[in-house]
Amino acid sequence: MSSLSYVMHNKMARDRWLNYLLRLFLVILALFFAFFPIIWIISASFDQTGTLNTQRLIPRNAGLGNYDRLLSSDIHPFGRWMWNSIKVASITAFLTVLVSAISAYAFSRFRFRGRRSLMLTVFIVQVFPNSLTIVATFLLIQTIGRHVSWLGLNTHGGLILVYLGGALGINTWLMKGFFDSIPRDLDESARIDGASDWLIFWRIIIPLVRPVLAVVGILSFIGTYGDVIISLTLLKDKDVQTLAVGLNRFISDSFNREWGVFSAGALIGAIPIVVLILSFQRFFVSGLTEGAVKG
Amino acid sequence: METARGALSRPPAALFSSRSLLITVLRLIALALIDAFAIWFVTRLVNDGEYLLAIFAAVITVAINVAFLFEGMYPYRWFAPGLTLLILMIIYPTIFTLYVAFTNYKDGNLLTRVQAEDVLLSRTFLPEDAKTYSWTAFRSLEDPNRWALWLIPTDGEGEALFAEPGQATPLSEIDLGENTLDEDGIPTGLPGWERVPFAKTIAILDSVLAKTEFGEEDEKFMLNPKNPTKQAGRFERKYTLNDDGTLYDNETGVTYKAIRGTYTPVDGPYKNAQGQVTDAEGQPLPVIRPGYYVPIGLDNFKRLIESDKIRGPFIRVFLWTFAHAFFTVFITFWFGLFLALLLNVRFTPGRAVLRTLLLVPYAMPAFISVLVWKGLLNEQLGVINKFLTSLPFIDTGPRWTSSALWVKVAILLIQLWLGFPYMMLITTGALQSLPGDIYEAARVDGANAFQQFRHLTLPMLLVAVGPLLIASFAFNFNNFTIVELFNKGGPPISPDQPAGHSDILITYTYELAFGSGRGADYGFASTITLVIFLIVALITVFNFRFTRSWEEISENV
Amino acid sequence: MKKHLALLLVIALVLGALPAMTSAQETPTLLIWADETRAAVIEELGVAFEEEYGVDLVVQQLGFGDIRDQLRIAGPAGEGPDIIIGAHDWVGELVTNGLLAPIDLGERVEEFAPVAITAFSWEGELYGVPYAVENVGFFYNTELVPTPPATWDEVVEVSKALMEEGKAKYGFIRQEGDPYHFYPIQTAFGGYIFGLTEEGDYNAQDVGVDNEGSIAALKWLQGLLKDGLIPSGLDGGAAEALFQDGEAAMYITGPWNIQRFLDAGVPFDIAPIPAGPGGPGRPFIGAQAFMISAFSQNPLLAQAFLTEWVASEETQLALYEKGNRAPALLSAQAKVEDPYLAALAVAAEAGQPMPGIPAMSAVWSAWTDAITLAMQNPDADAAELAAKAAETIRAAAAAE
Repeated sequence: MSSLSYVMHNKMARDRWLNYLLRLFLVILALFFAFFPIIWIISASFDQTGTLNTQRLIPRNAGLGNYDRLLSSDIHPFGRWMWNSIKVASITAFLTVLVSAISAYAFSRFRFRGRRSLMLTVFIVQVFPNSLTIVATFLLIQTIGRHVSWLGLNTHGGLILVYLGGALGINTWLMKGFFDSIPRDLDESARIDGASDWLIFWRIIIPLVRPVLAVVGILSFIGTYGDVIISLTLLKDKDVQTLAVGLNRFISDSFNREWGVFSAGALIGAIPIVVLILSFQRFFVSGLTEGAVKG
Repeated sequence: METARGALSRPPAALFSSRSLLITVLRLIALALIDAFAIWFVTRLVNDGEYLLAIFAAVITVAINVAFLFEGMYPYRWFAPGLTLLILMIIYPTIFTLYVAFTNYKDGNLLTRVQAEDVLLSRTFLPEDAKTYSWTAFRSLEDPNRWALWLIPTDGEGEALFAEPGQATPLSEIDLGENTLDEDGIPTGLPGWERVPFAKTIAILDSVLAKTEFGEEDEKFMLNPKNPTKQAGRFERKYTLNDDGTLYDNETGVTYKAIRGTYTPVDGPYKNAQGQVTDAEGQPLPVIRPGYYVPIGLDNFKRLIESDKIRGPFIRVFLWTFAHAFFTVFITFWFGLFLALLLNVRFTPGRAVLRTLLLVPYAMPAFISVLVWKGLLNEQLGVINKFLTSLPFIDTGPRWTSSALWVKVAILLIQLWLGFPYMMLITTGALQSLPGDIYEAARVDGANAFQQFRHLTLPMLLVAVGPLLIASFAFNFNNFTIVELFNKGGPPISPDQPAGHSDILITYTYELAFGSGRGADYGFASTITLVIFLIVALITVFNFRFTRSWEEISENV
Repeated sequence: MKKHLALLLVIALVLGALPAMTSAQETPTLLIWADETRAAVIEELGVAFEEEYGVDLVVQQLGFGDIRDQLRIAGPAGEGPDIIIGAHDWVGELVTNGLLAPIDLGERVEEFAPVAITAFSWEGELYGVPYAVENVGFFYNTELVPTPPATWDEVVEVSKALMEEGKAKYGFIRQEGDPYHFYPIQTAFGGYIFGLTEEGDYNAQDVGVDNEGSIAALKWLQGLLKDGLIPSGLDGGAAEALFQDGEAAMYITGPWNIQRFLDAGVPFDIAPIPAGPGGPGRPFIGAQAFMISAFSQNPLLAQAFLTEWVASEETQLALYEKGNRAPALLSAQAKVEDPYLAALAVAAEAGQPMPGIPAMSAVWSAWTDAITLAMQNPDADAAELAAKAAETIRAAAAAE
């Protein structure tokens, strides 16, 4: 008996390992797909002389020359750009989360006339291609800036204001789904205790929905960090420009010639996002799906 | 949940009621502040002539007041910040853009009427009998704001002049005092006047010298606006704007009338047999540029319907836009789900590390990733085609950027790379939160793994991530970065059609609207956008009305 | 209620007064939009101008192409620059849109290369002070091709020989599309884009992209593709890389690549464009200049900057050092001793100024598409493609 159970156990263990190895093999294929391009630009960033044609996986003339040129030039203040990007993206993300959460709470908890139309409107407006409205946006920010100078052209305030126009959007939907998953009994018992809606929102709901706040914040951060069209149009001074605009200039001026420097910039530029996503990974998984699942 | 209930029991009820009055007062003060700012802002907008924006700001302010003063509008208070931003930053520009769809805003008619008139009215010409002079500036010793010019004829004929505001004196009538003329014929100084060196005059060219009228009323001298440092003369305004809106050319005597925002010659000293206004040699005169943009009714819409060169690519682009967004969501979802399932088995050593590593593509900013892929997929030198052609059975690699089919494959491949980690993330989350007990029941009923997946996991998963898939679709519908940066919408369809095989609507209209060097037509691009927008809005509304997903999203409490 | 109103008014007044307190600027400022290369020179050498004349220069860097696109948005709004740098083929479009102010150099016009002045002239007015002239030439690898071929037939022979002997992967290469780099071949076969009027100006009504010569040039290229003599699917960057790495022996390009090829150590020289059945290959001659926005608040100061600073030998030489293009100011050009630029100048003798008329927009789109499609599909009907492109260009010319 015991030997049979041993054999069976052994067989199960072997099957389990076989199954694991098969799955691991597939995952490693996926990893190859995921990492090939990244390894390629890492290599390019250390390759000081190569062209697209001759670039090898292991650069022939490896060195930090590209990084040196990237970071030491006055013409492109790379550190400054990066700081600007992080600053603009963080503030936008924070305010987006705030605005979005307040609206999502109302969508989730109140029943009122026009609720469904409002939700539909919020969705449809997103489909309008915002890159076409860029002229109107430019004129708008110019007009605002004439009266409130820190919200005008060439300011981060103006840029953030434009980004915040999109705060009420898909994010709000996402949050609403999550808010719906918080049982209403909680609100009710607090209300019996005399709590106002604002207090319920602030003290009870917000602490419980932190994962989705983190997700919306990160999504907003990533979207803002990578935007080129709006920031290119609104920001003209090199000291206020963002990373995406700066790197974009490499593309338009000398993409082919400065491939190595561009790669170095791209890699450094990607670091904040990588760090952000990896460190909030846990929140990310639960924040994105929990609300929708429990609904 | 437990902690929430715990926290709840703490705040005593009395606290809330004593606060409510204070809160009401604070709310009213905040509202007053907002109103004060809004009134100030709207007033200034009206002063500037920004009427549309002023109306928007006023309506928003009134709405905010209504929401905060009437209890019946209570829920809308919560939307005040979000809706204000949405209306101001998204809907207002959108409505402006829609207005443009009914105008001829395009190359040649890019300015507003006031701007176009300003540009034209600032033009000058030198009458035939007038001379040009080189100038030297003098400044009054008594009044530092009074300036004069010493003018020497450029052709060397005739007398030098001293022109001050109101009068001009020829050299022969000037008392030089103890000053002398230098080798260029300019006095070193004049009684009551100080000669200003050239370098000191540059900074005041616009603020002082250009604004001063030198000489007598009917013989005014001014700096040549096209060559201010070297030349002055009796320049005159080239155009005069008549009260009836026509433009009169003071040099040639031709009258221009604005037809659809473009000043077209209607009357003049010379005309040919067909009644066209001509120059002295009988050549018909061209219109004057720049023009301004005016409403042209439905002409842009007519063009969209009537011209097959535009309609053809429009339909093609429209279909690919949908296909692109759909397939992107489709393949990223399935690949992401596949990986999520692989890693969802409990016995998976290294699972956390593998998941994290697979997330990395998502972390690269998209515009960077696209450019990297553009290099990898280069038809001749890209490492992918180099690898493929090194295989014994492949002669030439896929034409990633020049074939109508392969370019689409390439874009979807890039989309797959960019998007699968996100899908893996959300499906992992959804899988983890699926209730375990139904699987027990299914196993008891004898369902195999595939049946479990097909009938239990997938439906529940789709309900869970449905809104995210819709959001992803909406995002990719307008994914400008990838299509534009990868191949600029190319390869071209045909030399007479303004679109490429990989163009999606947003890249297509963006090029039409702003594509410098291609005869940009913002008005027409807006028209197309409007049509697209209506179609998409209809589909969305239809979709939500007749599917359950809308119900689930809106009422799932 | 009354109190409420009074409070409101007070706040409105306070807020209204705030922006009015900002003081007016004393020193006039010129805002310049330039690309990275030029911006560096302006910042470096502009200091002297600032000090001498008591003016502030503010330089904003944009991508070269972005300058034109952004000027369309920012210029009319009054937020644009006073001065931009740009290429001469923008002039037609920018002037038509009322974005540029004319310039009068007076007698100093003669100090500049005539072709540069022509390039920036539009309907009798000058719209820029040029700082560089450029054209493409026939670059060849001196190790692989000791003597440059004089005709396109010779180019084919040399290519065949090189490829058969395995000395190089390709002989002659060219990038896809791009009428600018195709024009020298097109003209060698007797094609042209716009004909000339009696006065020697470009005539927008005379479109030549579907004439026999232009079609012959397309068919010739398609033939090379079919024979595998030139690769398909090359963009500019890929073609440069092949030449730089010595894998291709002959390539049409311009002065912007000289430094790069020198750095890479590829042995090369520059010859005039080979001739064909239609005569010599004619490169386009282009120019770059500083231009003044029609919406500048300091138009006269901007003019002064152009005539006093841009038109100086020192500036033009500094711009040459950084940008590797020949100065447009003749006295500066004479001081440049550069064998490669000299060779390009020889190639330019057969050249023609690149048309700046607005119908060029249609050329850049439709003719580019036709060349691209012909090169992507060697079996495509070149005549039909050319006819479609011509039709589009003619429609654009008629609309002017």
